[in-house]
Amino acid sequence: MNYHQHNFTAMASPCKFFLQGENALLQQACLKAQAEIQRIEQKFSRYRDSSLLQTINNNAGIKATPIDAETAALLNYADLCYQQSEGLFDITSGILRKAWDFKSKTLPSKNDIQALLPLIDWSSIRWDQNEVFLPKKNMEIDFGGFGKEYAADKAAEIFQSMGVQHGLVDLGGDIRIIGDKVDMTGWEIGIRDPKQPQQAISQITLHDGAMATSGNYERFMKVNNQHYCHIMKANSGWPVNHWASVSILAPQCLVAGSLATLTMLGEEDGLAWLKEQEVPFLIINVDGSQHSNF
Amino acid sequence: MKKLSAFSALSAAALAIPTQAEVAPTDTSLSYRYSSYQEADAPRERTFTNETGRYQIDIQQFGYRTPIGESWYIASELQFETMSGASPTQTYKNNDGQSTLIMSGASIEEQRVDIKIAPKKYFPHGTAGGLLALSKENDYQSLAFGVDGTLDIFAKHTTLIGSLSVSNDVLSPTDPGLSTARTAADGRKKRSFSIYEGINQVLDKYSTLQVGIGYTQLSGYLSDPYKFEDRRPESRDQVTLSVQHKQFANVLDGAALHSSYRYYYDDWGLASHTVDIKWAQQFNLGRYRFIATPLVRYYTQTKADFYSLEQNPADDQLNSSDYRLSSYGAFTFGFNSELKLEKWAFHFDWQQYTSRETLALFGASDDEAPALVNFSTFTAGVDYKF
Repeated sequence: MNYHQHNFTAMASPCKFFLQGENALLQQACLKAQAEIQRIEQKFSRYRDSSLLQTINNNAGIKATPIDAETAALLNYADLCYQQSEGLFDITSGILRKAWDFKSKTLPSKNDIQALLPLIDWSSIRWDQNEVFLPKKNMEIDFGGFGKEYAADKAAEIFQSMGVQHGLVDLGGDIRIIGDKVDMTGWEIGIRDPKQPQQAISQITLHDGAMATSGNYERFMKVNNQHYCHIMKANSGWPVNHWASVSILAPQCLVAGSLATLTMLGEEDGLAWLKEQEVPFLIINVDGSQHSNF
Repeated sequence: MKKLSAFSALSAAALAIPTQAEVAPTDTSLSYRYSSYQEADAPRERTFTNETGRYQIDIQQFGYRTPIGESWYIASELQFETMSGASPTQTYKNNDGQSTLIMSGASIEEQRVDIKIAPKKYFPHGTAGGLLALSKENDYQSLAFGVDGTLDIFAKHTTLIGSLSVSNDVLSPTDPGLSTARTAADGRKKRSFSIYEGINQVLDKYSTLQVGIGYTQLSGYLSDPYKFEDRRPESRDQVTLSVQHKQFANVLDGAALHSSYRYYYDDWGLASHTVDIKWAQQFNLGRYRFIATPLVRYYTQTKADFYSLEQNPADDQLNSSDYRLSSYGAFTFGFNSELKLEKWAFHFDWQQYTSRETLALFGASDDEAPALVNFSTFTAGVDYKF
């Protein structure tokens, strides 16, 4: 049976829908799912002045911003990630990009980072179901740590609600299965080789659920032969450097992605922690050694 | 790292994120349309003078639609029309029983400007919208205001639709001193009040059905001051019942069959039936998408009670020889096409309309109505989304 493929770009990533079924339905569904991803992008974009997230950040140190149920639930989710990682995962840490410029190929000064650390403090943020308040001026939050995975889940749910039974959503390499292939043989998913991200280091067959990968190759720079990646520890302001990539299978892409990121942040302790989660994983050390329970 | 299962905790939190409602469109779009409307000449063997040329209208339309904030969407439209040509002034039956058509002479040369603004607010279970429309030409001015809303119920399988609008028009016929009708009409008002209630039901994954009832009340100066012996009532109550069905079909790259039926009745004694069928066929051609939509429409109406071809009816008697109030039937054949390429969409539409006394299905009369018009329209347009 043929595949219906729908490609576009959102959240700075290539987005792909692979689907099987009747064309009339699939085309309708693709437009709705794409619109959903774009809705999430616009609502939580750090780059659009009109976005809710930007309003929250602009109000930092000034006043609380009213939020809806979706935003409150995502803040709750972020809070849980913060607790589970004992503060290493912190949605206020995006401000570190002001010190870390991966294009410059130079390290930030210790002072630059020290100056930003007081602005990184999720525990100081006051929030409830109705509003959120960032207590210090220039503080900011962003959902970059899980927005893409959340959008993949939401898009897949749109397909399911419209009656699409066979397909997958691929948002920049984060995958959520809508339903198995018509012939029930599963979807072949490649896992990137951290050293050569255009190539697959492993293949896995997925019938349902999701797979997300967190890797040190997505944004990084090499300085004095040391690898500095975009995944930063919120307490120190410095990147992790233990795992090259972590891929996780879970029913939801959002959860798979967070577990992968938290494992990256856990560094050498990450593997033991990940094993306790009892989820399928493939983890690759920076030296190339692999661990997997697939 | 905590020892309790992050996996279970995160999964539970992820499942607690609420499902979102229908969202406002997020694209800003600009559009332009050029339409040419051309009426066929009147039949020379029935016209009183050798003036047979009828209306030619050129329409230019500019559209701008944009989201405002999270949940608002505003659509606006600006339209310029240039009309030229002649229109029927009177039809009467001569002593031989033949209908004779008096045309106005090619004196009409007019411009019209329309402005429309329609904001819409999106809620979790519906929408609320407004409409402000202003139309101006040298002998007519119209101001309309409307509100509309939709409400989704039964897990969005059913949508209730309602709208309400009012308009206030002012007539100012050119050369008001030229006839008593024009003098009488000058400065007169025409008002309308409309209400529509509908329900849209998702039947299954591939089809929807909408039924609706509409009521319009017109009041004020409803006659045509440019026509001879045109004296209509000062009020008109109109009722419309409509059914629309949409069926998606898995033909080639996807298709949809739209069919609709409309029944109309008013207290001038005029009733009409309209049947509309169109097939929208999609073709995927690499990066392009092409949608071709052939359509056919049949329309039939009975005449108004006071429609007559009497040349000199009594002055205290309601009367009109306007062909639009006669009994007739009409066919429209058309072909709409749309070519989409990423942010661009190009439109080419064509329609041919033919009306005749003999095409009437009900209440056909032997009287000729030579003013009945045939016309064709051609539209070319482009949309850009960003």
